[in-house]
Amino acid sequence: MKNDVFIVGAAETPLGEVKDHSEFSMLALAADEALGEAGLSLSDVDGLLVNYMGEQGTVQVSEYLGIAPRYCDSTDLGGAAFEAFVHHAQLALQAGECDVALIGFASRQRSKRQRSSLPPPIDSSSLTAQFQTPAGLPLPIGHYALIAARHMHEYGTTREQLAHVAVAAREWATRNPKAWEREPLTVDDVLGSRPICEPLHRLDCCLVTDGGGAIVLTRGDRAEDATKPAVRILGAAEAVSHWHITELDDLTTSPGAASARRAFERAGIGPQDVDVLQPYDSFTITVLIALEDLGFCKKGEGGPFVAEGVLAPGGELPSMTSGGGLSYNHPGALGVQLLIESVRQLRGEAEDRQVPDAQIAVAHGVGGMMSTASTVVLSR
Amino acid sequence: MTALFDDPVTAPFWDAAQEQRLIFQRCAHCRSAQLYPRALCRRCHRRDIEWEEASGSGTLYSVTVVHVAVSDTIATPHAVGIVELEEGPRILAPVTPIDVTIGSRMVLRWLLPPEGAPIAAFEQLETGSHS
Repeated sequence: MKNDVFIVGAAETPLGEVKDHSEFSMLALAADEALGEAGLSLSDVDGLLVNYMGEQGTVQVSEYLGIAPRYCDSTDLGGAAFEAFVHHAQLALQAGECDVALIGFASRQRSKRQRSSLPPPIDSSSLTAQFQTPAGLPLPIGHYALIAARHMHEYGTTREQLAHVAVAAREWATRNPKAWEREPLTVDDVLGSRPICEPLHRLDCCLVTDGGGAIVLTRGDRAEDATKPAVRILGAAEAVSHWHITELDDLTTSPGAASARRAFERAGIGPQDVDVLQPYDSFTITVLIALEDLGFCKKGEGGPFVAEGVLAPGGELPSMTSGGGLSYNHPGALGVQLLIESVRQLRGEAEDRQVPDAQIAVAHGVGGMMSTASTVVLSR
Repeated sequence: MTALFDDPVTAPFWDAAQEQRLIFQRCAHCRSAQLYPRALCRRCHRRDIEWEEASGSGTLYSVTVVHVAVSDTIATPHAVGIVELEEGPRILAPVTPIDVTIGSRMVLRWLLPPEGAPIAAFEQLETGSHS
């Protein structure tokens, strides 16, 4: 339909350890490449949606790119912002608030060694500084560790089951030449890696790399110039829950339950229709809880479900097919790259990791301390 | 008493903490409890909320053993847990011993750093039974 919204371009920034670019130049390259796929150029962009690109990010990126968008959005939903941006861009495009929307992100967190387990609070009287920091919990991993420990307590989930998530991600990564980690990985490797915040060990955690990407969206009436198959947005939604871990009543349920329910409702399909899934794999437990919250298995059954090998190549629910944040790339916010991999799978251009005849893909972002979630359902 | 934080809404909590009393808010309308102080009830959003003192007893809801250094004052590894106070609200706190398990009965023990705010820490009750 004319008013349907499509992804017509998708491109990664340089990945890994990026020594010859800045965040802005990385984003500019990815935007240019994605627009090229769409048969469009930067001067066509009149909607801009970015997160983590500095203070007033849409303003700084607009200036750098030499564009003057009439629709801007820097809603900070952490790593889930980018799937939420698809929802926001869809609404803006359908309302005629813009005609070509660009979603982007780039980070050099690895090269700049920006990652810190317990950054000092900016405001020494913030609620976090008063009621959370003094307990000595590194963030965000400490929150996910408490979530994992509770899931194990309530449902008997084991570290071995969680390890299967990391092993599946690595199996996909061995098929992706752009993946940071490509050596084969076993469950025992994960179990034997050093503990960070128990029950989570080093190999339960995502990478710290440079990276990012760009996505271009437009309505059906502007999608004709696309050089590659356009990918349709069937449904998108976001949800938020807590900021402080004490305020999340049920540690084993994420806001993804609400975002997925709404996104599937809008798409008019359900989890049984999904051919390929890109869940935000910040930690192994993040994926386990997403699988339950999106309805791929029942609450509490994520452990046995992943241990069957369903996520790996050849499994029933191919997931993290780029290798994910665990093995492919994690620049601090993976959301754009979840969308890029979804697009490549639906276009049939994922080469050695192509899921045969993938028709429906879901990108599921999770941000903050499992504080935010956003779900996008896509079709070929 | 010197103000520990520049936050007028939480000042009564920290005044009490300096007397080694753990207080929280309870809604006079819906009776739900909340630990960090707010201008309204987080459940029913009414403003008639009252201060109440916690007994200091609770149950360990979740726990993690942290192996990365987080500060100069906390020796690593250390355990951090979510304790559900018997009055209802939850608090994030250092917990001991390091192998304490979820469901353990816990009791409040204030930590008094040489500088800064007192820290509400929790210790496993020795006679405690696991749920």
